[in-house]
Amino acid sequence: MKLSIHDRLRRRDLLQLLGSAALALPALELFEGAARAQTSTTSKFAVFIYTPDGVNQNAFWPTGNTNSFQLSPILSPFEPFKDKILILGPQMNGNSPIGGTGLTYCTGCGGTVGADHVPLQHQAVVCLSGRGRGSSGDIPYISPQDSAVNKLDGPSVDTVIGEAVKADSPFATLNFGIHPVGGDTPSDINFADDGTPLKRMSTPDEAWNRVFGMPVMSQSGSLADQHKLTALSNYLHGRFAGLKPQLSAYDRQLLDGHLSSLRTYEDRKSKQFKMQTSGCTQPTKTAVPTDDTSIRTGSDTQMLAPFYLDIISSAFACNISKVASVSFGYPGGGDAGGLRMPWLGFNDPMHFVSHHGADQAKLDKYMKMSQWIASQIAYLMSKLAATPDGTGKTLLDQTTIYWFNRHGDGDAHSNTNLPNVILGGTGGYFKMGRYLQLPATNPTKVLISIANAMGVNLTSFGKDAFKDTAPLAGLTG
Amino acid sequence: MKIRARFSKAALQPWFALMVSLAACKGEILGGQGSGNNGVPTSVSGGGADTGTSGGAGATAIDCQAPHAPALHARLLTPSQYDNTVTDLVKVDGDPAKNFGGGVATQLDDLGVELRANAAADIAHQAVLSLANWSPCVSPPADATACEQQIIDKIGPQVYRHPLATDERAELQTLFDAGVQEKDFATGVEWFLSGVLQSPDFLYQLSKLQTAEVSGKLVAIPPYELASRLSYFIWDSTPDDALYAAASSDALLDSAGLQSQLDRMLKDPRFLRGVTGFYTSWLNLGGFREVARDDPAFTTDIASSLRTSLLMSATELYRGMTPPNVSSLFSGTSYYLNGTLRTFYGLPGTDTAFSPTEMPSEERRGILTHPGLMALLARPDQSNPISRGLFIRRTILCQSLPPPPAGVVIPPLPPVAAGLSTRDRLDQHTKVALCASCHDLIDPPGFALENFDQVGRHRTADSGKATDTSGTMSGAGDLDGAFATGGDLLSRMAQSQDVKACFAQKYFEYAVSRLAADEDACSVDALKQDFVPSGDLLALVMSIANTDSFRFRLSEGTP
Repeated sequence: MKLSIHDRLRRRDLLQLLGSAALALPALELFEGAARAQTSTTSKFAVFIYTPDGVNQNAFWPTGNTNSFQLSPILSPFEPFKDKILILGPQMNGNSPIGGTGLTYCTGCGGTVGADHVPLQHQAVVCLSGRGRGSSGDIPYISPQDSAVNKLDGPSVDTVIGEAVKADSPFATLNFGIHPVGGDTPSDINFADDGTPLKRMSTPDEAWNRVFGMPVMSQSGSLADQHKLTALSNYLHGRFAGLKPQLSAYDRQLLDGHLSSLRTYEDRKSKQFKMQTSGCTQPTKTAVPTDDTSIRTGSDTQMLAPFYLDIISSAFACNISKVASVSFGYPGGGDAGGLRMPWLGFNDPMHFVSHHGADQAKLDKYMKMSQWIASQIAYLMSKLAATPDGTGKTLLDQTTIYWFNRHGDGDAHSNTNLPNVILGGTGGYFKMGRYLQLPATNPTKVLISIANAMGVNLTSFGKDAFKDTAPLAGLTG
Repeated sequence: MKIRARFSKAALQPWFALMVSLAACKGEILGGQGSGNNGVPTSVSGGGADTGTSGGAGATAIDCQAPHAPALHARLLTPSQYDNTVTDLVKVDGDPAKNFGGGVATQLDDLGVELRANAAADIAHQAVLSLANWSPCVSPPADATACEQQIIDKIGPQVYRHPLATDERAELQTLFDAGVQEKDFATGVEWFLSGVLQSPDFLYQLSKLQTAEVSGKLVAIPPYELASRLSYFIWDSTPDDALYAAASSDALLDSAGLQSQLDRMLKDPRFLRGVTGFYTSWLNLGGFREVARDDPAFTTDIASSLRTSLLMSATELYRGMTPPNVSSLFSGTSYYLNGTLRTFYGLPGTDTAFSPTEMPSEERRGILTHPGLMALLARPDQSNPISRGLFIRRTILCQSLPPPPAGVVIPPLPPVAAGLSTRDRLDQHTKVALCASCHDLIDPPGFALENFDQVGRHRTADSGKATDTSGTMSGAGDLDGAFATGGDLLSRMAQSQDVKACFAQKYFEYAVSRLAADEDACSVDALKQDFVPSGDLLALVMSIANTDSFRFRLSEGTP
């Protein structure tokens, strides 16, 4: 069946799209049917960027006032995007944030303890889920070997949004992790509908193959692949069915979850994916060093971050997903490994510099690491700004980026003055280009606001002390 | 064979420590001496998501006259178990599970499924190309049908780890036939292998319901399941034919039959894999993949050599003629160094391969002062007494400690400067009462190791000041008391009963792939009774396999 004039891919575009994979032209026949490919006028996108370990509070907050402000050293990479930033700051005393103001986990809890004697400030806060771990009634955190126990009772907000706006994109969300060597341990950021912690893509190959390894790009002939997938699916579903009656209640649930994931995977593999055309290009695969020394020193992160961000930009352009997240490192991170940035001139992991003890040398490194992450987000913004969304706007216009942290000041593991920022055009939903100084505010409100910005009407989110039922007032204007 | 940490870096991440009381550290350390529970709230027993804690002190007393065991849930093969099994069954190498990530009890999400699907496809593809290495019959087979049957009959039970039921066999036949139908015999093999390597039968160690199970009653783990449990513990891989034969004849159900297999398994070369698996976890060897130090001479070659050397400290004990003993682990001044490391540490010797090298003048005491371990537990430009101290508390003494208390303004540390040693800079920990409550417990064992710098070199000065490795241990069972030098403390550790008891517990936890639960208390105590007097590392493995916790499970009833 011939392509219509409107959705025919030019050969040049296709080869650019497929990169070095030499594919015979007959693959064009796969782009059949009506021009589904255009992004709908209401398509919006969201990116959640997580960094652990707080920030150098002396170098994060702008000066000036709501509509006329000067960016701090850490935020300086966003200078070209000042009209597309919304800083959710604390109230300030001169140049210092007032503790207990701004985005604060568990407002009013400070210093008090929960029923199991865990001070609520020190609970592991599950940032995108509006929950704490270790408070009474919540699920304690056990080391990853028993991670099934670390299920929450529901999804993180990125999953909620991703599932709601997915439409015919193959992925509800794309989750990336820097820098878990040996494969990801399940996330404390991303959770599936049933509360299962979600893994993040952790290597460049894994990410590239997952996102771009659509059947349409298969070289081996799609019909044989379909038959194989069907035969395997029949066999595997038979196994799950055959085993179920032989298992305990707990194990049935475990395997049901696995089967559900298998179905998600099979659905995606079996669809003939129709590509968005406008702006849809594929990033170069070979840019990231994967040798032992680059991984050992963490220098690969310098290439890995923009590579993942390129994938996100392309995924949005190609309608592969509308929601993505990137976790820069892990909370804590120990001594060996964790987030390092040797190209900045030092080997210290983020966690170490976050415990700055007011040492100026460490504070300086701490600032530089956060600043580099800001520069990466600015890079993403520039990629999105350069990509049309097919309706006359750019992807950046339609994207909401949320850069969020688990702590305010990493040294004291504080849960107040969180350095969280909204960026992007947000589809015109938020009034951007402002620096807000907020009283004590439940960060869950921001999660509700972002869901609303994406067209998802959340009336309540989170649990216990972290629960909220309203968006944050004042964000939309 | 690539060696990887199976578990997370939890031992080095104070942030993840689960605490029960923060009022003060003193008196609040749980676990250690005499306790079957290391104080961390336990999991998996009782089914479903555990919300409560079951702390050590104050738990209802268990009568050890009767056998006890917790419930046993499905466990994913770990990455090394998956890799070893694939090597054993179809002779394909290359670490296909390298990015599976941790989490034995994980519920697989769509990415986890995809990783395993891709790995299965790759392995199947390679196995077809090297059919002669593993298949009972070759390709193109003279009689394809007969060869198909042979492959199903051989590999099917091996991937499911039990004899095939009729319907199970039929399903495999259907899958294989579909591939043959699609193209040819080789495609049949490929589809068959792709499928079985993704099957839940393969990916999990499963506990299947017995007839009419009663909730709360103990169930003996049946022979084939026990065979898997034994082989994945002792060999870090799938059972072999002899173990299946023992399962089939019920030999594993009586102590003589079990012992016979244990004797055989511990003498088998595959035992080294199981040993490697334990020590990789215990020492967190995965950390070497990400250890960077400011010293430009600390290269990737050094880091990987140190990793190998550290592992060999343990595994070589199992190769000698003398039965390996835990006291050898904690003593000795000789380490397996290669040429690269000898040059780095300024030691004589021309042998480029790993060989025993003396470091006697440096007051080394076995594995705890191994240069690699010292380098691992450090910062890029300085030692880290806190992470070293925590390692001693958590990994060596099985104690858990909470993170810093909330709302405390942590006093500023003086920066690294001439005349201030690492120890000096941490002095606030002892001067400020709130800090001291925990740091008096954490810091001393870390200070004991201050003669070893951030790349594992011995030193007697730090930032121009003489190192001070004296201190006092408290809340440390038979290690309590003052020590004049780090060497004194380390010598005491080599003799300590509490250290041995904790080692037994750690090995047990590795064997059962989870933290010790209340229902394990009797098993763990019995283990400690056996192990502490003897220190016999082979007997420990056998004792673990003989515990009630290993051979029984608590029924959660039939749903």
